[in-house]
Amino acid sequence: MERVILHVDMNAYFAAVAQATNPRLLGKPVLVAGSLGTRGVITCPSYEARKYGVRTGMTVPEGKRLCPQAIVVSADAHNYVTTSLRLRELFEQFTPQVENFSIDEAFLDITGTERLFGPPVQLANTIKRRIREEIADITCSVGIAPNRLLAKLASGIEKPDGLVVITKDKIAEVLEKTPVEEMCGIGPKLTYQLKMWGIKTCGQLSRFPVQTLERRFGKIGRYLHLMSKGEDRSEVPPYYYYEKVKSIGHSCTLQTDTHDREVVRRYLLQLSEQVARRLRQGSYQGKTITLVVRKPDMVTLVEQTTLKFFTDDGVQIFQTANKILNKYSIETLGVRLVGVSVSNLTHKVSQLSLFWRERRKQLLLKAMDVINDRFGDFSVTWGRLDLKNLHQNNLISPAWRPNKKIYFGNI
Amino acid sequence: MTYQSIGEPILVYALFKNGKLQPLSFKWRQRVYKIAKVTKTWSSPVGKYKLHHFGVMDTQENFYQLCYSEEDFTWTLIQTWNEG
Repeated sequence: MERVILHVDMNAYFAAVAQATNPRLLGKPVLVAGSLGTRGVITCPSYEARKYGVRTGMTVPEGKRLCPQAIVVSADAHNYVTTSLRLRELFEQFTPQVENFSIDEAFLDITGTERLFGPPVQLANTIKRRIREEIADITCSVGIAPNRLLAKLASGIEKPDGLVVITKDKIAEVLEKTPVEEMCGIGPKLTYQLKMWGIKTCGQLSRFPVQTLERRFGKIGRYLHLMSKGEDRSEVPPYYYYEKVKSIGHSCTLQTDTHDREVVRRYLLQLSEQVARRLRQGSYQGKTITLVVRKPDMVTLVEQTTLKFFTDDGVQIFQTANKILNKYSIETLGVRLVGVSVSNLTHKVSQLSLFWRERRKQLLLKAMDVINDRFGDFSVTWGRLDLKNLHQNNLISPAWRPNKKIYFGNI
Repeated sequence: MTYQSIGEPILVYALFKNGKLQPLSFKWRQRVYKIAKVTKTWSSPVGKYKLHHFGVMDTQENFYQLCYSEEDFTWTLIQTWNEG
């Protein structure tokens, strides 16, 4: 049986949810930003704002210069998360094979569901209607194709509120003039390298010698060749598939640029504690600690250290990251953003240490987690943290997925 | 259009029906606001409890965000958007 894959891509998701929540914003240019101040970065402009050239990643002042009448709203992560979970629940009513590609995109394998829900186009329209009726007055673009790669390409062809089908007999025709950078998996660097060889479209890429691609790019060269022909055998995993976590991190843009090392250290301690808490919640420990520092001139410094042991202790993570931080002359360079992450993860063995000092620390962390689970994050924490100026994270990690579980090993 | 961040306690008249909570009207600063429409609901965790958020419009089409705490059964007016 030929596969039928749907790709659902919510349109201007954060802005659309903000407008659905507050109908006074409907039809108006809206900028969803991490913060409302001059340091805020636009995470999602509404389609009305995009007409003025406003794009994701611009600062709020830049966006306001292009569209002075734009209304800036603060990002509300919980609203987007709740809505995303409801979308997933809706999708799972049609198929158990639902893969959330991001908070606002999902693949559905609807192969064999025609007898239950009608032809694919009818099912896609049903999904669109039920989203608007049951979840929120927001739109999506849907792509229908024989595989994930082409379904995602199709959903991007018509926005907003689009519905595009790529059938098997139309693949070559569609891909002939499709720019390579529109294929999922081909980013700016790869696009540049291909253009150096005169390859701008998928049609051109498909006719390029695969041996040359393999010599230049290794295994990826063969994938590029297959992609250019619209071939993709990857599956949409079933709902019970667990994604392996590779790293856990937190970062934040400081309220003002600072040259004060002590201020940076307090932020770093808070971030380290947030990372450690998420590690413990997922029963992880990690060995590699990475520090990210962005200067006021937007140059980013990244450095990491690998410990000889695994840890889930916020103080340990902070001390390691702080050692890296000590190499930089904060007083001269200044700091705009600081972040810390832990990778090289392993599943934590739930066993108390035999050594009393380590055992005491484990019990202390466990007690802190129980209290914070009951009363909220940072209900109890280290005395050094400035609780009055705790960084509140309104943003969602690009890696977040609804119902993301923790799993180790291969499925 | 004016936005205001409020964060004040309010009195709410609400209906519990079919497993859902629906605010019908609220009293804020001695004035009663009749809710014409609940536009959206969502929740956020605080420890083991949840805050339940309601986007609502009154009869003058002004927008309010109400928040119900399941920990202590209190309501808070979070923000308003209205003309003027």
